[in-house]
Amino acid sequence: MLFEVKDVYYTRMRGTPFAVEALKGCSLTIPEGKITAIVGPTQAGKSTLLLTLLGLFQPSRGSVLFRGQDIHQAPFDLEALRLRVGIVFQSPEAQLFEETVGKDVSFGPRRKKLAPAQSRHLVQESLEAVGLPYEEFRTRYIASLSGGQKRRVAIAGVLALEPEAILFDEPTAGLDPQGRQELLALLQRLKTERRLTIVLTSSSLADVAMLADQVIVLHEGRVVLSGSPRTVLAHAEELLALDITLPEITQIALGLRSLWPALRCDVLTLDELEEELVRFLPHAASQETQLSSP
Amino acid sequence: MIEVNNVTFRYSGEAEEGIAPALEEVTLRIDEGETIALIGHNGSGKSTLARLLAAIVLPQRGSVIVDGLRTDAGGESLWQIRQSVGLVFQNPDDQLVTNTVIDEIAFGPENLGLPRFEIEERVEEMLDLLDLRPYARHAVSDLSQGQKQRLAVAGVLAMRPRYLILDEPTTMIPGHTAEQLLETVRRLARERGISVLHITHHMYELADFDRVIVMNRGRVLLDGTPASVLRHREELERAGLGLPLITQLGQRLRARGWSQLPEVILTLDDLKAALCSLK
Repeated sequence: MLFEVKDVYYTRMRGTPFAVEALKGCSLTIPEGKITAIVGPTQAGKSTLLLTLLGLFQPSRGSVLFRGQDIHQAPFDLEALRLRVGIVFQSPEAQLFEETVGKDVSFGPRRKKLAPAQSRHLVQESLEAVGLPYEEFRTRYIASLSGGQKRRVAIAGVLALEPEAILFDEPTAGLDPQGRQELLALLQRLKTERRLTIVLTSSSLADVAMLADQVIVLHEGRVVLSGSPRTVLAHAEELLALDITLPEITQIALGLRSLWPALRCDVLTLDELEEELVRFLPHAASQETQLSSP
Repeated sequence: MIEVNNVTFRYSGEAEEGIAPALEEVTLRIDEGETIALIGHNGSGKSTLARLLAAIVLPQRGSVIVDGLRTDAGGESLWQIRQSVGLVFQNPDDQLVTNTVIDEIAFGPENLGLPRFEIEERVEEMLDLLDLRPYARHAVSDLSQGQKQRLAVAGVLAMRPRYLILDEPTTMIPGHTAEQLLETVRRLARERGISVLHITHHMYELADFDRVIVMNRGRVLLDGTPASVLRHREELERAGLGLPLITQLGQRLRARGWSQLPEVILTLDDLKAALCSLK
């Protein structure tokens, strides 16, 4: 296990009139080399959980373990953890601060005092990993990029630190369908080609059902469901009640349940839904004639 | 009525780089009280069309005429056009200018120089219409994306436009919130005769609109009722748009022998009704 979260409580803005109990006894595990999606409505505690994993928030109760070691107990080195686990905040394009793409992505390697050649190699590799050709983009002004491109530059900046895992806070928020597909494909590539552990948050299962190995559903600071996307989608009605957006396929399956209550709604693709639905339909006229013909 | 007559528009500097015009020879008409979904791939010219209708940019060839006023006539008519065509941007943060919800709704009417009681009346009306009353005195920065998007719509509607243009309002907000927003907007169109032009990327949003316009490479590719547009599967696919999943499901079942199913199924209710008739 890369991370283990054990019965964690955390209160945001503690001691002020705005105090909110963001995590209330949250327990979960993040396996290595897999994609874990943390799904929940707004205010469920998703972002707080990510920041707690990195030790940016210290739990008021419970513990966070990284490879079995409590991150808040000496001699654990939190700074070393943050070099091994990167984070891409929500709307990361807003936090690019250098003038050009090359300078922004090289910020991390330069801070690590790597040799220029090594740093250059990392920048090149990181930009190409996010689909931005190095020669074409290295001198481009950040201001001249589209929103989706800026987001990829921000991700390249984290990759250049050579992390083992990356946490993404709402990586698809605000992207159009094409940008969304490209970003999800990028996460998949990072997992398969670089063997990175990936954790992402989303308020929609539509984005993650085909991508995640494990889905953890968070509601009011607690884990209410977890498992493979299929296991979680079997509880579609409960998810809907929690204000979680379902994949279009699941919505259709759920709607058809008013006709056939036994219809499965843990279908991931149109093919699966078609096969499931056909089991309930009366034989088609043309099929019957085929059957009865000698 | 808005008339778009043979309009061509190119962004400055793009001709030299050999980039095709954003819009090319576009002709269409928008009638009062119509609800229209405008769909197309990235770069198909949807947002440019929205900006032309709201007189934010002017056509280089052809004309845009809003209730008899040409958008390129300048002077007083430009103000009238801007008042009758309200535009809501994709990202509400690009549009919201004040600190609190009430101030934001009042901003437009104040700038129209309306008397105080009239401004108050419109603010009250919008708070109810878009379910913003619980947040009336909240800071705009504390609202969720969905609430901000409703506030942007409220701010534009408070100016009583005759045409409401929504430029991909559902990109930034979760699915069910988007559905509620569209339902509210369509209700307004029915009750007040406002025309709505909803720009979207999502095929599944088309079903509930009177009319669908499909754009591709700066031109109008298809224009008609949702059902008639969805019959053109191949043209849509060439424009990078797949049929809604529900329509695809219906067609797959038809192909497997349930040939009495309609060719184009638009909504879940249609699908259920069609499947029930098989039972």
